[in-house]
Amino acid sequence: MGTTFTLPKFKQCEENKTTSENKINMTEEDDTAAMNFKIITKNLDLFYGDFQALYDISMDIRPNKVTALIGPSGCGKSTFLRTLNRMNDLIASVHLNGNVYYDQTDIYKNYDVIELRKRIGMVFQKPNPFPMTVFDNVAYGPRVHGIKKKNQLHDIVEKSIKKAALWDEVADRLHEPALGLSGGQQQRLCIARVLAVEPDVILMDEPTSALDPISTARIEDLIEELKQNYTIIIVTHNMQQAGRISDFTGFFLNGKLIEMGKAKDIFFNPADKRTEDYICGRFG
Amino acid sequence: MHKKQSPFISGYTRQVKLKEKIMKGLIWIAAGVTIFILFWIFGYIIYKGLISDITREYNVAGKGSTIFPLDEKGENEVICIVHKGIRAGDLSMQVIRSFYNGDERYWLVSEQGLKVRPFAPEPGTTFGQKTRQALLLDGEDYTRSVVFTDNDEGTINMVANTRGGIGIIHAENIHHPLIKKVRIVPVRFLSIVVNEKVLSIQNNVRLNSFTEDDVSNIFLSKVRNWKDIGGIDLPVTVISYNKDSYPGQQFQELVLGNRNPGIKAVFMDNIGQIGKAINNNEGAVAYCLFSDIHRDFPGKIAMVERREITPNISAHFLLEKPEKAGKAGGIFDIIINTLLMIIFTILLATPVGVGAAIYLTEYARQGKFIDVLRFFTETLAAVPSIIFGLFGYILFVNFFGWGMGLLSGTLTVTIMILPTIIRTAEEAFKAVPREYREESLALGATHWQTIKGVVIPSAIPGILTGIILGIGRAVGETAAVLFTLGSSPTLARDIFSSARVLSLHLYILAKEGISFERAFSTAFILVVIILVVNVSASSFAGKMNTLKKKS
Repeated sequence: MGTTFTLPKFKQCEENKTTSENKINMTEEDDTAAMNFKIITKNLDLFYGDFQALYDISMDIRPNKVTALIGPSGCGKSTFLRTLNRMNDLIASVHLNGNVYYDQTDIYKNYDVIELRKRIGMVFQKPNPFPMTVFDNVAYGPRVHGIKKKNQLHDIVEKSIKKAALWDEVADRLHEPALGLSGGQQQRLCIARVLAVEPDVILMDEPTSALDPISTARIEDLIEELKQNYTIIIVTHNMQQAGRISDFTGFFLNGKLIEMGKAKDIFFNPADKRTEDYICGRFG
Repeated sequence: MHKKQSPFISGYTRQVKLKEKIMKGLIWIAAGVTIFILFWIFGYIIYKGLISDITREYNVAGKGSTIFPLDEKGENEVICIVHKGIRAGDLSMQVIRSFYNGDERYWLVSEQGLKVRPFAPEPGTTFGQKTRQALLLDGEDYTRSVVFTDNDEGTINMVANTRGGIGIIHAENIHHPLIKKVRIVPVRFLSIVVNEKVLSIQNNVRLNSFTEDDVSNIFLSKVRNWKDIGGIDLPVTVISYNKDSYPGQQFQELVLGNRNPGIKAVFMDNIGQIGKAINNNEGAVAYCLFSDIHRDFPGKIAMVERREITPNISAHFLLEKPEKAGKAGGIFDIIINTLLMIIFTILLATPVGVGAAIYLTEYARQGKFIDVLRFFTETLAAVPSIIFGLFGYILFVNFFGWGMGLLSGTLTVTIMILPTIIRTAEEAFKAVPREYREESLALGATHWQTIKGVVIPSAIPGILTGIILGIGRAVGETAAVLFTLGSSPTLARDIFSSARVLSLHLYILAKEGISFERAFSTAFILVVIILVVNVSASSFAGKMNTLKKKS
């Protein structure tokens, strides 16, 4: 195809270049860094009944970085994301082989699922605030984890909404139904709801695919800010978005992790022909 | 170029269009019939519920008069007073007589269950003598419940202070200072009498009763032969008191109305002459005071129909307890019983039904077994309620020995409405977006926390719809409660006491022929309750839909 692919040049690309080169020595064989990995999957196979959705995925996720997972529809990137906080447990027919380590602990063997989901929060594709007030939405997580005191709840809610860059817009609407917010606000509310549980890792499953460009930009800015304190793994359909916000990018195809590396490398020097084809828009 | 042209249309399209027109017509007809039936049924129930329109037969004719005579000379004019609580519009002389001779012991004429407490002047006095003659047939005696009073003031006082009291006092005392404590009731006292022959059967024809129009037509000589008004072939002979006599004037005023011309008739002076005249003329008809007709009177009293249009529902009907098997009083106890049954039913059915629905949608492993369970639940919702009644009768009434009462009835109705509640609640839970559950779980909530915190609150409108539909089914239930709740028309005292509910009351009123008017007013209340329940159900359903739309 004759189309030329140009990656939009954003500041963070430049910044990431320096930071990543200085701090993390990013090579496949680097074992000294293994202790620093937030999440490690080893030889992960996943089946929906007889259908194998993931093949032998081994991936290392670095803390306080944005890792983007890209790939065409049905390639297994969302499924992979959902194995990281065991959301696939909800589907009876799913079983998997291999290991997933979070902070060096095997989450499928030595981790309580409730505890795990507290540590690894998730933002979904469509903003889905519960049909209650803004306040109750954000307070939902802390409440189910046993926080009852009003002051404490209020502090958490305020802090979380501020972190999600939504405070200015909803400060005077805390006790109105959350469903009255706009789509972008709803998604940031969902992020605030996740933050209120004080997680360590945030998984995002195409968080902007249902939003307009302006809301998308705000969420992207937010992700940029959040990575100071959180490890973020984001699934996205939008390659420009992956290019803009991610530090590391993994390319999935037909249930396999084809290539994983620094975003810059994946987008400019893909090692695999298929990655290059996908990024250049030859299929997808 | 722009010549008017019929648009191109192929033969096939034309055919299709024709078919569409025919189908449209048929659909319109179906819709029209449905709408007509709906309006007709609702209109009829509302009309019959609100208005009681019945034709009753009386052996007196004409309007009631506040002041009425004890005899034809009109020398002893009296008024009839009753206790303030009596709601009778007017009374016929015959009803008053039945109160005094003991034939009727309750105020059923005013649809009240009160005992009649008749007061009469001491029979030793002249006035007492006259009253007694007028009120009773010769040979009859006052019933034992009649209390004698010394004078009119005594009568007024007694009537004012006795519930169900009735008394006769001189007409002069109509302005007595105490009279405000009692009610004065108009009395109808003129009877139509005929020769026996007029009411006899000939060629399978018999005159049963006159309408009020018949009466005025006869006396205004518009009816010349009895066959004109459905009787036998016999010429009419009208006999009357003199026009200026007391009964003549009263008849003109109360029966014919003053606008009508005077009557053409054979005029007589007193009851004796009238009796003779009737005896001598086969087609004779006359009028006289009801109280003047004694056992040896040769004529027969002709029944006169009166169409009585009154409101069928009143505050009394709603707020009084039923009396005399529902003939009198109201339906207050029955409404309370119905509410009690509904409240207990909902208290039992909601937790069980919602719990079952939670199990079916949230916990149960979806598979064959659950499908079968669901199928049976659905079938159970359509099972005729009499079967539930039978089941409840065997299980609760007999096997557990709880007898017919609130407990057995409530449990039976609970079982009956459970499938409805389960199915609706299940649908409501299913309608909660899967994402809510996932988001809640992703926040680290447990399954139960998710159900409690997100699923149930989102499903509440649907659950309420189910409950309200259940109430609708329970409130209209007759067959299931017939065997299990019993039919005692009193307020339930405890959970074992039998308690009649609205639908059953209606059934009994109609089936035992107690009163169709009251059956209809009960039906009206029932329809209103069901209407309220349905309107609130649809408003809840509407709320649920808007909720879904927003999310």
